[in-house]
Amino acid sequence: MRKQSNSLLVADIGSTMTTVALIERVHGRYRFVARGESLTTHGWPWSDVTIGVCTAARQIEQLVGRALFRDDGTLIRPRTAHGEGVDDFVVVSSAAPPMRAVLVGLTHDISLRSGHRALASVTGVQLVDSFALDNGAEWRDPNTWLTALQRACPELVLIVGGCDGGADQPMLDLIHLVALYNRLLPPAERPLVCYAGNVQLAEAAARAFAGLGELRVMANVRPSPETENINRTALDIEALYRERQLMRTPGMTRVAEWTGEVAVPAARSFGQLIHYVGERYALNVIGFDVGSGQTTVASYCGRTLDGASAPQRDESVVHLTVRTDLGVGWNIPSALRQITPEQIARWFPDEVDAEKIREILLNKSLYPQSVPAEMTELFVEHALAREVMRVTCAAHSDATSPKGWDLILGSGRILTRTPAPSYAALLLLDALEPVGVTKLALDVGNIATTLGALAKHNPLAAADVVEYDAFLTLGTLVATSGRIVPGDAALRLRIECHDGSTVQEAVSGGTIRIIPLPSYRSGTLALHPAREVDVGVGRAGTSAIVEVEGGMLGILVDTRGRPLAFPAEAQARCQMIRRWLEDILPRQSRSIRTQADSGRVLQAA
Amino acid sequence: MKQSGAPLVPIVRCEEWTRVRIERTMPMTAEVLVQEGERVKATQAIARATNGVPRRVHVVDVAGMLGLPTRDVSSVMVKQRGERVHVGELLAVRRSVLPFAYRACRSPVDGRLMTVWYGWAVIEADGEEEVGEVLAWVDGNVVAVVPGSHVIIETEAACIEGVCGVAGEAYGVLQLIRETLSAQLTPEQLPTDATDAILVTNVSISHQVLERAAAIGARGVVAAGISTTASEVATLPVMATEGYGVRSMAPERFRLFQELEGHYATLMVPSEHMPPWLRHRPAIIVSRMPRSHPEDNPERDTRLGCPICKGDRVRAVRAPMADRWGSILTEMWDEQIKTSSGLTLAGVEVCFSTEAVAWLPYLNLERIV
Repeated sequence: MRKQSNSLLVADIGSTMTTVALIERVHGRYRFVARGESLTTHGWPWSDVTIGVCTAARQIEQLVGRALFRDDGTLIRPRTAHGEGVDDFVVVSSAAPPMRAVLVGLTHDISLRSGHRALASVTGVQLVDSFALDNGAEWRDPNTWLTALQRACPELVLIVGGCDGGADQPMLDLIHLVALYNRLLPPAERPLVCYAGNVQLAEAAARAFAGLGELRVMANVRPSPETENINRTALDIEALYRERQLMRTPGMTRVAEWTGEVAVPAARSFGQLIHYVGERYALNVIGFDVGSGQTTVASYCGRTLDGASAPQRDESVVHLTVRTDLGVGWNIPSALRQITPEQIARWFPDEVDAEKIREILLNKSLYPQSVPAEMTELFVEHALAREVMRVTCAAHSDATSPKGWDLILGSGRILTRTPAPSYAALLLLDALEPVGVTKLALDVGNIATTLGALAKHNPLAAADVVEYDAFLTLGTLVATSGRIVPGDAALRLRIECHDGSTVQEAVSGGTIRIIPLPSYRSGTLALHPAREVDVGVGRAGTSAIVEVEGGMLGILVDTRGRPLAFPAEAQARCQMIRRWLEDILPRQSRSIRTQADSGRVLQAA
Repeated sequence: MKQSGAPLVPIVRCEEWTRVRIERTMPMTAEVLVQEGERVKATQAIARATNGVPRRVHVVDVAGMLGLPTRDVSSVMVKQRGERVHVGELLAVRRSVLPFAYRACRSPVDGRLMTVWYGWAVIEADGEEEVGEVLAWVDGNVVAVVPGSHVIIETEAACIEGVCGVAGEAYGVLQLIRETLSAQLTPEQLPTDATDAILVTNVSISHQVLERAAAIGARGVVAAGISTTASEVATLPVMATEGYGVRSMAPERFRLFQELEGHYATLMVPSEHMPPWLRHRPAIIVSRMPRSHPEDNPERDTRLGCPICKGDRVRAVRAPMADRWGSILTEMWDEQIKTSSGLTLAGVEVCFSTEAVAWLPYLNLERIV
């Protein structure tokens, strides 16, 4: 029987920062004890990620007063009789660059669509282009394919198309077109080819690629016109990323020796966490992890439409969207190719020049670990984060919950390192635009990405940490939709707390209201919307009664309407954003905002 | 050595005299022209490569054009593998007893039939082979040759790293533009002739300056700041020492440029397509004659990877003190202070050359070596 771990170290080796956390059994429960962070050290002059891990771990050692690593930098494992070291070590990582992938298929509307869905949920793949045989007459010409593939210069080609047992000639043509491309390249420059099409042609594919580079045969993403089988393929491609990219990160082999296994991709682990929370608490959960190089949205519907727990399902049913081309750190240049400065500027309380926005963001991309020390820079970064989350959310729209979300979880330093938790709440609201009654939580310890992998390794530890320490509950959100007129009465609410106290409020349209309710208090919330306002029940004007719990902020009421509308006139837009910020920010933060960006400069004596 | 819990920060080099190793990457097919131990000049070719094969091939769908029921074309090919073909020349023909069923497939290009595969004839088209040369770019010694991958050249040099730029490589004489007090250089402030020069200014440059620099024969430009769209107009490599936007170069850095004025220098600005940890920073390298008793300083190399500590020279990378150089006054890693943006962060006090002392988050610092 496996020995119980009393002390665990978890680490997230990100592309910019490394976070290490110590979890220990205290009075029969696993608790999050301490955390350290460091720059990720995969680049010059370190070229070894273990240096960053050790640096972060030293901070924990100083806090807890005992050694976790030996003087030579090796992990003490298992924990010694003197209490030094840890019993287990779990590592997740996003420190390797994604593989450049090209998707090729028979048809644009069927094959490529399934292929796109499969790749969207894969960690570590950046889709650079996709081509189909039915794209046009010129795509029957092999020269068009060669030119397109050469321009894309992929590291991985995914071939999809054909139902099992379907027509074989067009699919054979497709296979040979890719094989021809490989044939014309020097062996070392040939991309890895993954075949996930008509299963009966797998052998023919193997013959076509014999001596022409590496071919991996995977499950058909579209075995029949009615069925799609993307999860298996996604996991297989992810395994390739772990083997080919993650394990080649300098120092990762040593990390694997410490943990006894290959690091789990951070996005996959985050998806596992969302699945775990959704299933354990029977909730519809959506989580955002906004990173320096990639953005992940994961969602899981843990309850049925009538509110009962959904039947237990494999974790592969978690909807995962990984955008390796959208980040708020080193990958900002890629994000700016998809998001215009004007889209970013619309979230500003003051008019800002588009070029200034680009400058701030591109400078941030040069030092992705750096933090905004001035208000303008903070607003720029937050505005980008909103847009990055919105774009990722749009790509994730297939997975929107039919009955709204019970819990929205935010992770990533851009969300957790804010002047006040209400900033993070506002970012999540603006990005997702949820409707109805939802809980908001924040991964304040920056360990959410490790908890999915931890749940696989030690479910009890993950359960305790999720339950007690990992997240800061911001509060309960009540968000309305419908025809809302700013300034007109939109919603009346009454909270009857279980301690006997009551709170009544009337909220007008176009605002955000925070009603303080500490986390240790709960009660019954009665919502009485105006005739044309919906509180998430699906019918305007219908009252609702829900059980609510407090949080760091309390009850947040958002009557801005859905979708959020921005006035075309810049001054009116700025005024509206200013009002939203004033609605949600604590008083002390408001005063900070009005201070000149002077910095804290001390004159030397 | 057991490290303290003090933070690690990025490193930027601004060294008057150091040992530099340059990795010159090359295509898989390149022919390496140098050997380990060989002394090379900056303008010397160290490898030669032709353009890639797929760029010059033309594929003819013989089976498709002849309407064959299978992809096997062996019975219809007129030309065989390795044979020369000319435009309009018969490649394959499908004969029949019925004259109207005769179909021919002709070559669309002059060239050589490389292969026939899956009913396709692959022709290597004629044309001038483009031969590309990989230059050494620095005077130094070849210390490693990995065929098909890279050559490493070592040199003693002054090395000044920047932060971003327009990708490219150049070799020329460092020519400084008179120190200016204006925030941006104007085209009029450029010299009338800068043939073979790498121009250096302590302020930011506009698109017009880049265009003018190219027109007067400059090989590269070094400036404090560049516009975010500089890469769209620049036709020569550019290095920004401080970043994007209107910036001014730290006086300490500009002084070193002044000392190096008139020397031949190499400007290397890597492409920004790769993640930052996989690429080198842009840099100016000025090779110097080896010192009479060159001494390696292993202690210095060990210190490179260490956490920052009291006395270290640092550069602020974000506002409000962006681009200024100073030294760390205290070791107070755990102290958390609120910034103007409202963020509460751990940091240190830094003394700047102007005698000003400011508290800065350590995340906003880089160490200067």
